[in-house]
Amino acid sequence: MNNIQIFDIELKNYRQYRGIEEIDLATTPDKHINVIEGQNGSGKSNLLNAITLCFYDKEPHIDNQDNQGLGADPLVNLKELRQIDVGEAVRGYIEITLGKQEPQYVFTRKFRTAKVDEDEYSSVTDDLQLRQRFGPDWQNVDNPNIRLREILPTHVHQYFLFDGEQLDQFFEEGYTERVQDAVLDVSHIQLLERAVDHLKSVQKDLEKEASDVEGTPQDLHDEYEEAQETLEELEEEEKILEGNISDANEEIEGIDEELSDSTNPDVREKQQRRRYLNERLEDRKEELQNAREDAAVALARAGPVAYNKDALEFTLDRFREWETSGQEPPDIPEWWLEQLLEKGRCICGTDIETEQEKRRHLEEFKQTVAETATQSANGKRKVERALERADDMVDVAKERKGRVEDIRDDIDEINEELREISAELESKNIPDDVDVADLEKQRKRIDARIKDMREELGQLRGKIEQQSEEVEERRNKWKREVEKEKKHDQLLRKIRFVENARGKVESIETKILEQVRDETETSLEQYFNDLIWKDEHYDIELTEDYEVRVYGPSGEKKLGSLSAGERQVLALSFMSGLSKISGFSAPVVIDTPLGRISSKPKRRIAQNVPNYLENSQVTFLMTDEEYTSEVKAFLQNDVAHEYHLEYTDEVTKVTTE
Amino acid sequence: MKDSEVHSLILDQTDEIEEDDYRSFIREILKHERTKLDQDRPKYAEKYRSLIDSYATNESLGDYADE
Repeated sequence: MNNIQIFDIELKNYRQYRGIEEIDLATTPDKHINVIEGQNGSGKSNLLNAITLCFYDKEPHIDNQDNQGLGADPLVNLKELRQIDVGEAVRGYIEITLGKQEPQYVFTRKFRTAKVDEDEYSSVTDDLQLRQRFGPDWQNVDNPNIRLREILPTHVHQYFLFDGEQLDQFFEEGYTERVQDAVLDVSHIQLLERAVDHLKSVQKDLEKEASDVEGTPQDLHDEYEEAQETLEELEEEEKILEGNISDANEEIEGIDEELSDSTNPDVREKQQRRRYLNERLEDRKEELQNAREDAAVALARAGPVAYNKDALEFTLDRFREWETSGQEPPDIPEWWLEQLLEKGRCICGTDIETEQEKRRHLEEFKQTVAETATQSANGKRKVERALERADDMVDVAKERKGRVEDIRDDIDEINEELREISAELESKNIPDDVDVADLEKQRKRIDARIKDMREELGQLRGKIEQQSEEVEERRNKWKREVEKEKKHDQLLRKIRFVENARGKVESIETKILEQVRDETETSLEQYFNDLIWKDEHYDIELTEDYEVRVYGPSGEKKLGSLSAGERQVLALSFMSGLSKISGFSAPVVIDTPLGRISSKPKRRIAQNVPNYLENSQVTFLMTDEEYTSEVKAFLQNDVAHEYHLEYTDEVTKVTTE
Repeated sequence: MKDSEVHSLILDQTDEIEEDDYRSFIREILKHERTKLDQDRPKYAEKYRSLIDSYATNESLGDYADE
């Protein structure tokens, strides 16, 4: 037996147990049963309650002999309480030692009952405490409930610690729901149901998100491509135009060379002059561009100060007025405040050496005065400087504007001279020479065409710039949509994943339900046949609707037709089956296991009990009517400990029999 | 078995899932649900979303689609 067992229970002043009672329950694989026998009312159910009170702070097992019910009695032994005065209290505890091969955990729950008035008591329980063995040492464990949950959690304890007599009610009217709840409870089906619900809910959220980010990247890509094509067409036009301009310039170059070859010195001189002027014109145009930029910068600098000159002058006048009237800087000099602080006395007579709060105020005031004076001086200086610089800046802007005009005048003059040269050459008629007039006419025509083409090129480049911006904008729009589409795809992928995962969890749920029902059915049948006093074998079926059907040699036996004893055996078997399926290897404690079984079957059950839960420690709390000499004889080889509860004069003593 | 653990019956069934991503994902959500089993309305959305982000990869869906 490698399951957890109870080694020892120690009670102090718990209900009818007065003083300290220690019950050794350690079992071995050969002797895995304990019997604690006592009359009704001797405290058997309260032993079960002592275990649940210690572990879970609950006492669910009502003693049928106690008409007042548990709530009416204090936790501490009444005899002890009668010996104290009103206002005093008595303490008690329950200590349970658990382990596998040897004691490993000692769980303790202390309690206290105070006497509020004669026959009126108030009980409180402390938190659960745990000492655990680590090697040779025992140490206190901070969170005993976590350790307890690993041994016997509260939600399954009812399948290990239960009242056999009350089990008879388990298979009464409406039992299928109880069976189903119990089966689902031990198998954690709720876990799977929640997972399915939560996956559904997450899937719904993802679907909503996906519909919010559904993009149309193809449409936008078409629009982007369309804009890109238009841009390429414009750039192609630009290239052609640039080529045409270049060709035209070459034509002019050719004409200029012919004119340079003229036999007429005047023509050659004019041609040379024109070449010089054209070069100069190019330089001047570049200078004009730079000069315009410089002028724009200077104007931008001078503008704000120039436009606000009146306001700045007004501000400066106010500063000066405040200075004259003593308002600024403050007329309390900083050095004077410094002197007050050094002397340690204010002008109002306060001793600021002892009045620290007032000294602090004075120091803060000195600081404010210093800062205000500094800010005032700085402000005034800045306004003065701005006004001084305003004139200089305006002068610079004017000077640069003048330079722009000068260059423009120069360009006009150059152009004028070029026109004059052209006109003169056009009128030349020199025999035995190149046709100067015709060449010049051609040149003039080509030059006009170049000018037109340059204008057209300028407009075209403007369009290209606009179109480039349009292309960029459409491209960004398309890229944003692609990102949306990517997100949409990712969401679709996640939705499919969640949907598939949900299908798998649902499939697990179906299989588990089937498996747990099968295992419960198998355990139920095995334990029932182990315990039942009949020689024949019984088949037991647990239907899909959690209905329990018992089949004997003569066919199905309706549950209603089973004797109370048979029903109790069925319930015992069911609880044992559930304890097995729960997956926990805790000790089993059953109060009045054979309470409803008449004497002959009782004997037969007793014969079979040693095989029952043979891998677990089983402690039976039996009445003297259950634990007859025949029952005792059948169990004796498997019983590790046997105790008798002797109830006399309101106190139970635990004795070995 | 510890009470904090998912029941071995459920884990055994989960282990039979062939695709690694689905198996690990389902184990993780069940582990999460186990820690919240005592609560009436446990929070789950953030944990689920983070697990989906970790496990919903192309590979797992590719494998699933090939089935």
